[in-house]
Amino acid sequence: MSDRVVWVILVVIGLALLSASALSVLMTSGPVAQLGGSGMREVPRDGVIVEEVSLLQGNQLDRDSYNKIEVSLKTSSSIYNGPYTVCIETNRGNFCETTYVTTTGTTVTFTVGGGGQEATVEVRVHAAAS
Amino acid sequence: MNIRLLPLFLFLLTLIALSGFLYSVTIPASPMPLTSPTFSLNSANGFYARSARLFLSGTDVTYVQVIVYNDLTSDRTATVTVQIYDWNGNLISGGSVTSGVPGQSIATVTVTLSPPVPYSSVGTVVVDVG
Repeated sequence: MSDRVVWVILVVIGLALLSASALSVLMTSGPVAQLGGSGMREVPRDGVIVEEVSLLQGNQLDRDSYNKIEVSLKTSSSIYNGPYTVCIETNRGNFCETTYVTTTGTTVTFTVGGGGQEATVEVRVHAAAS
Repeated sequence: MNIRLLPLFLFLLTLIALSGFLYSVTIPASPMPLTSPTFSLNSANGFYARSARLFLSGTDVTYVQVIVYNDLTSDRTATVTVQIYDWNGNLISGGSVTSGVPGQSIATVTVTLSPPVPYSSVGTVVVDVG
């Protein structure tokens, strides 16, 4: 096999790999999440609505400390009802729970390390169909 | 180019396309964030932001209910400000209200958003009490 042919083969392989990578990036981006598990399904960003985030000490709101973070979610349509893995990223670590979310709403309680409330508490919520 | 190399090219292209396809299918199978609004609860001057709840009218978030705790024994007036940022970090809506809060008690304060914003565009909800 001549050098020219080898060179052409390498170029073809490189271009094919490049296009495959670009395709995979395109398929993993955007507001629509394509989710794994049994029966792949797609849910738009507003398919699950995070309604409320609360900080609780035990079951009390009237405190200056907290050891639980409560997150309320609901689906925007019954077609999105189903089991979801709900995760939070917070000042006190990251936590996940699996729960069934419906249009009527679901509350998930995460037990976190106790202590006085920080000047800024950030709670980032993720929900992914499981 | 030698015509005898054509089957080799076809075989290589098929192999590469197949691996690219498998790669693009495998990546989205891992859990991806479906909804990821961030709630940022900021507290100051002995007032604590304990809860934030979004209220929707249709697909728009129209107001936010905030539960404020006054850590001091005296009755005081709290200023509650809500700011909504989109996914690119741009301020897209907000509102502010003052409300009396009894000593060592909570008060529920409603902040109307101007303008209402689609839930799907809400990236971060910032609540300031003080």
